[in-house]
Amino acid sequence: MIEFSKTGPLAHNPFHTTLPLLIGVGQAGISVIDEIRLRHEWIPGRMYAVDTDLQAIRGSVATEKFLIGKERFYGMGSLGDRHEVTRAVQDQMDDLVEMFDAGDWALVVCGLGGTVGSAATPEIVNALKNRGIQIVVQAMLPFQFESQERQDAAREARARLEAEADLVFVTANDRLLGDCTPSDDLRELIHLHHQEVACSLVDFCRLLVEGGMIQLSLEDCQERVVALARGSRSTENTWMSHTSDRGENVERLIEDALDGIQFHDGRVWEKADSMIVGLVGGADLSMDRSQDILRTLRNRLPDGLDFLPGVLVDNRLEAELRLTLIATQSTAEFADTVVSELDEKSFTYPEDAETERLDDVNPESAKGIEEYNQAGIDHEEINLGEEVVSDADSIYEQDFLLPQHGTPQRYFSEQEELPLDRKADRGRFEKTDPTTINGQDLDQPTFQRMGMKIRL
Amino acid sequence: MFFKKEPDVVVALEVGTSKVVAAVGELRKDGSLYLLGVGEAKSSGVRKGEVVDFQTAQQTISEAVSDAENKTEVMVGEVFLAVTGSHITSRTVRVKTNTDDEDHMITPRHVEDLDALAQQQPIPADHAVIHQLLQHYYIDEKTRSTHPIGLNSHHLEATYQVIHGLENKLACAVRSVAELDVDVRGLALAPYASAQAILTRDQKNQGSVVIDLGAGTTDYVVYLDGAIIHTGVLGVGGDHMTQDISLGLKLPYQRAEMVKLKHGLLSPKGIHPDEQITLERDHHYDERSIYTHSLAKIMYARQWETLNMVREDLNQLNLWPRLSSGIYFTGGASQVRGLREVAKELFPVPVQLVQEFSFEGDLTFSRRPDLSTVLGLLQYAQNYETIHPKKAGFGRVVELFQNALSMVGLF
Repeated sequence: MIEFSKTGPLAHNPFHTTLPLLIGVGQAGISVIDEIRLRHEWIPGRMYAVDTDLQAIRGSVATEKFLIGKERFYGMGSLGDRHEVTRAVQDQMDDLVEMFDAGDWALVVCGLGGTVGSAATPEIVNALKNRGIQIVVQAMLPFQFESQERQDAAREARARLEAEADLVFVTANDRLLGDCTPSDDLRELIHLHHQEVACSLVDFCRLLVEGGMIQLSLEDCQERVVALARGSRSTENTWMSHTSDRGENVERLIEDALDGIQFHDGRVWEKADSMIVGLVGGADLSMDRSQDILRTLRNRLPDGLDFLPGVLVDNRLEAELRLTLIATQSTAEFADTVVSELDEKSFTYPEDAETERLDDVNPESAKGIEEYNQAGIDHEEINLGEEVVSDADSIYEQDFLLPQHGTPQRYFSEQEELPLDRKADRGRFEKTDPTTINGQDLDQPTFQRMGMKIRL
Repeated sequence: MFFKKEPDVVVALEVGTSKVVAAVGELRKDGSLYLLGVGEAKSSGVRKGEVVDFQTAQQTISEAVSDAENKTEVMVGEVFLAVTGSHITSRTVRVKTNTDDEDHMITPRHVEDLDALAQQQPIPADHAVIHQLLQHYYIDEKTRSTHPIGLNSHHLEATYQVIHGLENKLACAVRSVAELDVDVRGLALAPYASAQAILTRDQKNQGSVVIDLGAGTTDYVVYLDGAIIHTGVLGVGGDHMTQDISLGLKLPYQRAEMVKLKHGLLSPKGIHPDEQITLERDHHYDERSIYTHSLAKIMYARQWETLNMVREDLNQLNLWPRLSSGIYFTGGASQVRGLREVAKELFPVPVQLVQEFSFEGDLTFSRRPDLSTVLGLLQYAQNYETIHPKKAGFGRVVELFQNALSMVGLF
């Protein structure tokens, strides 16, 4: 049996020899890098927390912190003003870039539903790119039940990121709703999601940097992650899952990985056509064993799924095995292809696009809906008058709301106001301390927090 | 008016979110407890089991005590007070002492040493201890003993359940009563008191959970091998459910409360979506119809969430297989239809609704689960008086003075 030594000549052919700069932008991004810092001995280089909210910055465990718009926002957060955030970042860009002084590649993590994530990240990525730094972005899309303005902002930010960065992983928060019940704590699910993303990104970075028995390269990964066209209504291109186990039970390890929170609703198996696999084990992880594990995993995956494995030995892990699955979509589907062939201008959304509702859509949009209805699908079925979106399939159907022929039209779905945006009225419990458990304010009606519609 | 002699009676007082209740029991010479009567007043100024409006709350306490005095012809001079609130928490502490004597015999001094050691265990600086409940003694680190005195061992260990809460909130509760010239003889955690009315010794040994669904809080206590091993207070109760109904169905709070009591049900399953309840017109409100399905949906969501939080807390004990006696629901909010079904969905042990209590005395209160806390508190008081009999003469005066000071954290 031939085994490759970790220090042998074939063992090290990494994408980069330096550790990446790890940059968390906005609250979601900071949450993920904090998870990385708190949960992993292996820290991927210097870690930066960037936000407009001083409290979020102070609470972060990142090694470097940068407050955007100190003179504009006074550390109180951006209050949803994307343009102000953009201007603030542009004003402070020199200071910001100076902070990112070392390193030749960066991993930028952000949530595109937030103001800072969607407005500041493209500016930062653009500045880093101009300095010749290679960039991998992990972006998280907002829930479909969030406001149209947020969806538009996320879409625009995504398009800019895909134009600038070398690799953009886009995951969707909607996947957390896969088997979410009214009793589930969505904030807890988001937290778990951030943990899973953090673990996956750590092992992904390590496989790129440290080499290993089976090497991953950025170019291979790039081929397997599609950059969707500007204006596309498609959602994510990546689904991540991570698990670790100390036992010998490989079947269980694989089972746990395939049971990842983003895999729950099964969308991954309909959309993904590639699987980047990261396997990290202790000194006892031989080539034979890793091949066995990968073979077992391969047999569990759908036929035709492109398989890209990376294997790394970390002596500190002893008997532990860590398995990361990054399912990706490598080709744009019909809807996206159509979009990409069309004039980009027709999909440029107004700078200050406000939420529009079905009742007051413009005639052109209405025509699009009409055409769509003629194709046999009633938009009421998928729109959301009856219940706030809780059915992942319904949500996803919106991806394909394009007429069968002619110019694609915008479709305006009726949106619920995100509870987080609403000032909480504590009513009867105004004089009491809030009862907050797992991030939920229990003084607020359960049906409201769970997004249930009540028929009057 | 004839007033009975004070030493023969104990009074239990609960300042609840929906009502204030004072129960008066007579300690009989044969050792039994006889319920003389219960005074009640609609509560005000109390939310989530805590006083938020001192003067209003004090007034309702006064009304309840006066009502009890009138009904029982007993002058209430001191009470045992049930306390609750989400600030209350508990932890298990284990302490150990060496038996240095030649024969290594365990004496009462060693037991006292353990009590003292347990008292020294740290709790948050702004907290005060409500109960320090002995769980078990351990001889030579392994063997469990109920009465270790007289046994021989190199070491004696004990575990205690220490229940503590925010000192200023407890002091506020005590002061609201003490300022009415009513002494507070002792405090008891509300679910611990309820458990006294519900659980037999066997049930405590077999492993039981008592969940008290109150208006302001959901309290629970877990017994195993005869000892309390866990307690919890969630600041969520029937009040929250009423508010949910009020906001969800656009009803005034008082009408929502009436709807909950009269038509409330917890499961929307099997209800036709178009089924409606007509709320009759009265001098306050116009006639209106609401969908039964909507009402059940709102109530189910709240109850499911609350019980699920209790379940998640209990899951951490990892003791479900040992809680063979199951879960006992009590409290005013446990009277809602469909609770058993929701509880069965969630808990992996038998579920029982305690709707009736057995005691001697005025049986008109025997079918009132909302009184479980005061009825249990009377039993707690009976036990307390047996263990700590009142002093007479000047000793009694000193004791009352010390009690009053210690209750407000000054002594």
